[in-house]
Amino acid sequence: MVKALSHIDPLTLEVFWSRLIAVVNEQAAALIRSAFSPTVAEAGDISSCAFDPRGYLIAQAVTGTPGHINSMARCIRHFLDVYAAETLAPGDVLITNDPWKTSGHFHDVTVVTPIFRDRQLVAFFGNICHLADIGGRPFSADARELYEEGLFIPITKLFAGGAPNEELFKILQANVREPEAVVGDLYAMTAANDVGGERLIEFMDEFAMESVIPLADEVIARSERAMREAIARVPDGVYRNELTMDGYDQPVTLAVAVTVRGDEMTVDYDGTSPMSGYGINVVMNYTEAYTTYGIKCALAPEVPNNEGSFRPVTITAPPGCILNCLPPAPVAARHIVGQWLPAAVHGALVQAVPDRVIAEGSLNLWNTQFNGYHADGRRFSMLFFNSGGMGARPNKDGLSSTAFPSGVHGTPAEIVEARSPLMFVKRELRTDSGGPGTYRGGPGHWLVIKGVGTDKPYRFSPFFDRTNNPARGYNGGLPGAPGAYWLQRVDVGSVGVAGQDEGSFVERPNPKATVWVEPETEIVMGLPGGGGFGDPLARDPELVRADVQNELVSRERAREDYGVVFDELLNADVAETERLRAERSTHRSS
Amino acid sequence: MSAERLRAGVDIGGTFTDLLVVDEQTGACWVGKTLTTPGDPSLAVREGLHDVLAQARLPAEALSTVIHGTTLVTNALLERKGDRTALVTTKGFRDAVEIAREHRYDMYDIFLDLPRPLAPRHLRFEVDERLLADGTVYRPVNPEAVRALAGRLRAAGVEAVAICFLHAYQNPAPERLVRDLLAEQLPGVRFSISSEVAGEIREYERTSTTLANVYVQRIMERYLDRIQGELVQLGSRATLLIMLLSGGIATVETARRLPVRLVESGPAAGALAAAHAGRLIGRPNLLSFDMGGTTAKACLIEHGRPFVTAEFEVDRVYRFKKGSGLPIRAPSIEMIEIGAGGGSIARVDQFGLVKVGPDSAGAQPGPACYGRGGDRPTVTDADLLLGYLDPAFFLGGRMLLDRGAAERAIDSHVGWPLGLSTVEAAWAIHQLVNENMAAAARMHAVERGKDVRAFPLFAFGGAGPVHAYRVAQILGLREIICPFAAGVGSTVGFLAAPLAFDFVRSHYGVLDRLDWAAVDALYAEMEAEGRRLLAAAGVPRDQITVERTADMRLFGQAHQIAVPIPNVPLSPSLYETTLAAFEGEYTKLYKRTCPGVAVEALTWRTTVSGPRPEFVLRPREARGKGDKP
Repeated sequence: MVKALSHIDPLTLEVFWSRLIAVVNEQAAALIRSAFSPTVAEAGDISSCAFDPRGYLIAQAVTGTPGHINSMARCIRHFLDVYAAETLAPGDVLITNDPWKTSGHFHDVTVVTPIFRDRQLVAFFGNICHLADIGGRPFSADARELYEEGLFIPITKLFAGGAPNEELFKILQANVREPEAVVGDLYAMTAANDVGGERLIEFMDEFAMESVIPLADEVIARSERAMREAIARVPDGVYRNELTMDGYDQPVTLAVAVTVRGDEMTVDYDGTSPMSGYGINVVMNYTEAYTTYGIKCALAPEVPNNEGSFRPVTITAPPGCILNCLPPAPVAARHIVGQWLPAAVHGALVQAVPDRVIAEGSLNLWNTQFNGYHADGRRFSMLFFNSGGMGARPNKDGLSSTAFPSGVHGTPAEIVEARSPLMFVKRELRTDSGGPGTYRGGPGHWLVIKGVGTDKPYRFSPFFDRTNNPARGYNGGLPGAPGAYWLQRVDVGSVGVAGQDEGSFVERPNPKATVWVEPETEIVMGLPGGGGFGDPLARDPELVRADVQNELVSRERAREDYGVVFDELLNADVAETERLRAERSTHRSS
Repeated sequence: MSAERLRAGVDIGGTFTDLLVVDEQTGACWVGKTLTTPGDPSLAVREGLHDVLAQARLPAEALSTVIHGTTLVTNALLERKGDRTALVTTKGFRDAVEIAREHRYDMYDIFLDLPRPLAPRHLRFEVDERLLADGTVYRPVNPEAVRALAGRLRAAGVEAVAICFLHAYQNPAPERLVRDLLAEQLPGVRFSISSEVAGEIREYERTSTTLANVYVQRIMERYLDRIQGELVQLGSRATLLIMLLSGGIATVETARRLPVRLVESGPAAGALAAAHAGRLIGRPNLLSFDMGGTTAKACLIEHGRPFVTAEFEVDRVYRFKKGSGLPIRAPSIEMIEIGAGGGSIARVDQFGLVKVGPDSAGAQPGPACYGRGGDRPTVTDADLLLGYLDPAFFLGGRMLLDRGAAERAIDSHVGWPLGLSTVEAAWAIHQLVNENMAAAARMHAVERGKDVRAFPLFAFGGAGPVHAYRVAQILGLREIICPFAAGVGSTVGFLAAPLAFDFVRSHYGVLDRLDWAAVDALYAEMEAEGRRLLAAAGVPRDQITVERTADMRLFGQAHQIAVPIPNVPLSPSLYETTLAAFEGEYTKLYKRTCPGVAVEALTWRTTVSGPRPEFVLRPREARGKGDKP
């Protein structure tokens, strides 16, 4: 029926396309449901995709995280450089965690399966998971060289002709802290690709399709066209932006110039800081991944993400800068810097299309990695992801404590406590952390953790930024609250509201450095709030009232930032509010 | 003629209230359809019953049972019309319900909204108490502080309180204590505690469920009182029973206590109707396909029953987008619902592709051919132009359809932009909605690891039979079955469901060193409670069946699968068979298991059921079409 799709009608295309998406969704669901590591099963830190036999990304599951998807997008060519397509056989499964060829650090492992139909290669299915452990240091930003960060698996066969590569499994099991979970996840990843491949073949059989290439070409061509149209709607020009991050040991500058000419866009990171001596360096693949993602969110959220949507955009960064690092730079915590890139792009684009972007938010996930022992001597390792507030939108408030640009989930306190000797003392929204604006930035939250099921110190690796550089607002919006992080000895000081009793028993370690923590010490984390959008004096006083009632904004800040005054019963004092707002406006313009 | 021999099924839908009354002795049945009365839905029930009884020429005393499903709970949640509800939770966790899973359900849409918690932040209060993950008390409840809290709740004017403490699924005592203390001080206020409503790990989902439950409790109580009042007024002493979203039916007492389990019971009844028909005609495996005005539901029926899952979502911000709603942990019939119905609107998108739904023209303005001012082309318009519908005999001739309006809508919104003729455009719409439904049905089947081609299609609902043929063709199904009175098809499900109660308890253990005695005690406790409730509802002891499953997984995994557990006294000798049962279920779903990993069990579930009513409808209006469904 579909031997030559040179002219594929819209209806057939829609049907085929929906089917392909269903296939990769099924692949992702199988992976999440059968995975071992909480980062996969609870947090959904995975991606799964289908590629045509040439290695072009054609479909991705509607789950997962952009850092994976887009960095996996072009990985097949690397696999094919090592194993030429004609040498691959049914039952082969390929693996790598080469940071420069896939997703930027060793923990993210890519498993790719060539799919055969009647011994003919018809597609590749791939997925990426963040594994529970990869040897070396526990997951952290501390390494000075790549070699400290764990086991490097070059492009290798995980299975050959259906048989497991026992040598590789032996080496892996001997090197990682949680061999059961790591091996379990690799099996789950392999099975997920099997599920996807099986469904694809059923699909091809049903429509008597000899190759997916004509379908891929059509989808890619349409996506490219739609992406070009989206870019063409942005006025031509060069839009610049610069962001400052805390960095590991010194501030990091991200400089970007976005150039729009007709239906093409270039994004250049010239002027960005050089590589760091610690593990926050980003490989070019990952830089491209989050840059494309930021552009797509703003300009073309509906366009399918594939080879075609990438073509009109060129991304460059000088080799040796922190966004295009060179081996053997340490890279484990590359997400901290990489996840700022959508905001770098949005801060440039706000000059051209202010209604399509959101203010700066908390951005990088605040990962928390714990390693230690239960009271009974069993080892534990626990990683979960925490998110501060998102930036305000041009037409509504920012979302509180929501991952952006990452697409992962938080992990329930009850799951963490059931699997580790940790206790959550609180997880509650931070008053006054959302940046004031006509639309308010999303608040971050307080997260306070201590040890209860252990009597020994444990290792804690934070992945925090924005403690010195709050999320900026756009178009008159004010910044959100910066992040906060300290260790508090509660056995000596009084127990109180986090953030209010920083006494002499408070320690303030580097927010990216691993520390040893005594069980009774409280780890206090204040996740950053998002920036505001528009002038806070223009915010509807009724919205300010609701925020004060809900203790998301204090009465003091309502008066200071928003110029809204309330009586005892929380009714707005209209006259005083008008007077105050007028006074502020005059003051500002003078 | 014995006095009480009629059983009535009543489904209150958005537009119509559907009724089916069956004579248990003869199988004779009568069908009714009346406009829903949104202000007080019980009025339509009375009117409908009155009409049907008149048709049957039988008095109201002849009704033995009235089994009822309602969208009331769904609507109360969607429209946020429940009680002023407070949350009382463990110190430090009042925002768990708002922080949720810190997740965006759409990767690229940075303008999306998240569902609002049912209790706003200023109505979320904390108690300084704490359990550890194993259920031991770390910090006990201070009764004085709870009494003080009662004052704050009263001052805030709350009508309902959800109590949800961390790890309460392991130890309900602190929740019960706080409820009892607060209830003493706050007469008239409704309470729900998480350990009773949804005693399972994961605080966000459990809290969300508990809040939803108490939020709608008063509405449900009033409503049940009214329906019972209407029955009395009719002169009936019939027992009122309520359908749950799990497909079980329960007493009014359960519906009052756990109203959240009534969400979406209409679609659940549809699946049961399909299962019932399948059993009668010797087709225990079916694909139930229920297509109405706004949505289509697909549900696999295997071995004569639908599959029951543990979670559901309500009040989706984007109606059909997974993850955009409030999670409800409650046993529910697993089905897939998509925005594809007769009223679904067609358009051409920015890529030049035809799209149908999920937005619907509804009943007002309705499809263009209704002639009520709708100018957007819908599936019904396409069906009309393709000759699937008779313009002179829609709703049995009660409504005339306007062909010209349908043509104009399709031409201007689909035909012209794509350069297609009217019929080609209509065909594109028709075929695409079929494809969408087929894709959804297939996804539903593959999520369960089933090959949909092995299932006959059972089509009902207002638009189901019209689309059944093409959907079956796309899916590669060989058989299509349409029941008598397909338009009120789901009401059969109410009459086909057994009285049943679901219970769940958490008890963790690795399978090879499980405390089987403890699990046996849990099962005994659940079963005793179920038997007590059934006995109270008049079910004879020897007609009660008990079914057990356990949620298990490979050691270290996060998600579980359901494994059947034999209904015998449990002891370590069951290890081998249980392990084999787990491995069988696991490989069915995921192809490969992982060598050398232990199996752990977390949750133990029991369903205690009365007998499944078996009856054969003998339609009186459909003579000449055979007297079997």
